[in-house]
Amino acid sequence: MTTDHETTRIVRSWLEEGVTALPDRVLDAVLDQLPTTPQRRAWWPARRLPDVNNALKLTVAATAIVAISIVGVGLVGGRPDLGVGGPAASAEPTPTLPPSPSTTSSPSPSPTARPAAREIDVVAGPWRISGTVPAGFTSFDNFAFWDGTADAPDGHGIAFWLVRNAYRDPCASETTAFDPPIGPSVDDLVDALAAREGGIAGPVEPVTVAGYEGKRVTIQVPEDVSVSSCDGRQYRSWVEPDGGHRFHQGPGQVDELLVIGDPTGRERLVIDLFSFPATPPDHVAEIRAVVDGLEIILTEPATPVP
Amino acid sequence: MDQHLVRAAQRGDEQAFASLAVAIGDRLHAVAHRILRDIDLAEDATQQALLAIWRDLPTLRDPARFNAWSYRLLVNACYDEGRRSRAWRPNLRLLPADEPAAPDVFGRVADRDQLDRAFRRISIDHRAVVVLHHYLGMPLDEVAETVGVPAGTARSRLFHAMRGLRAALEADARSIVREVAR
Repeated sequence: MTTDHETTRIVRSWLEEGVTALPDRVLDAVLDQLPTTPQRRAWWPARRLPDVNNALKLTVAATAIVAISIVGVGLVGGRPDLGVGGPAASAEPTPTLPPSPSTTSSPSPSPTARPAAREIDVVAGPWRISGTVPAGFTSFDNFAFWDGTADAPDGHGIAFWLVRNAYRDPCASETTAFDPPIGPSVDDLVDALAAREGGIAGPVEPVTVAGYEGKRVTIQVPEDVSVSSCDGRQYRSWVEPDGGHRFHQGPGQVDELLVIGDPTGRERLVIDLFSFPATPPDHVAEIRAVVDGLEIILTEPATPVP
Repeated sequence: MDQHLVRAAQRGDEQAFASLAVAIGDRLHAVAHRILRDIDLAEDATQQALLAIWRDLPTLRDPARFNAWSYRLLVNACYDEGRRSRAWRPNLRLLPADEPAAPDVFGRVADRDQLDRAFRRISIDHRAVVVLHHYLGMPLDEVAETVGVPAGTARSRLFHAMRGLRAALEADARSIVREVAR
């Protein structure tokens, strides 16, 4: 009979055996790749206009105000649900979202969309995603793509996420991670988002993206949240397997999430269509249209449960 | 770990990162090898982890936590390599017998083989806990944080993994007794 103590001793001795030195060629390969491996900034960090002078800041701010006004005028009457129209617009905490395409691969609703010009090829864990985004979209670390800016007042884009866990209170992320962590299925994440502070905006709907079934769920950062008072000065919805956070770019931001998974329920991908209430509807339609053209492959089987 | 180096690397200083990589490379590789039990996969996982460390360093808020954080990325890389190996290889290549670092302290080659086979049968989640705790000597609460699970889950994984390894050793002992009795 082997005692626990003896087993531990044997296992520890066994673990002491084996290689310990990393071959130089591996280290060299890593160092060779540094110049072409961009470092990931804290997600869309608070480096808004960090390096520009005050005159430029004022110019940009003035331009933004004019843009908002133009958009607001253009939308009055046509899209009252967007809540646009400047600072005096609705301060209701209830989300005001543009309508979503119904469910499965809907036809592109974007008559004004720019020609799709940029191919994307994204790797997210076992998922490989390819497609195109409109001309002019910027890539952030090849997992998020946006049009000019991701920030308020009208930033919009698309990102691909793996989610390891979520937060009950996105403003208090250091102490409110779900414990035990959420499971790996689509419903595990949707349920967690629904259970958190602020919940979800609108109904949860079935969706199929590139042949993978899942759920569409929308979340919105409250308009009245003071992000600077949140933990880490960030309003965080979830954490990735590598410890990176999805934090949002400001009050009011809307994230239409297409959460898809494999049939075993053990692999999950989140397609995040983010925008703001002031984002023009045709731009929202544009990022939705990106989804219609995606090809998604799950390259590896789910990890077997021991 | 030199926190000045970590901070410099966070700002994109490749020389500082090279120093960090040299300092931690052997240790990461040793851990990857013990989790994956395959030299090629371990090299790939270490390379992947070092690049992930470089890529994600700016998101590390507390440089004092660099070591634990880097092990987390390594364990994630091991998961990825483990999955990849299952997807693309019909079987893991069996390890050539490593030269023992010391005299055979636990007595029988059979034990080693039995342990190796038993270890390969448990999930990488469980292997990671065993290696972090029994090889690196990490306390279980730190193991839990590193692999991103509650402490109770880490304890449970360690318990089940060690129970499996113990059963493998006992099965091996029984087979030897039967051989002797014939």
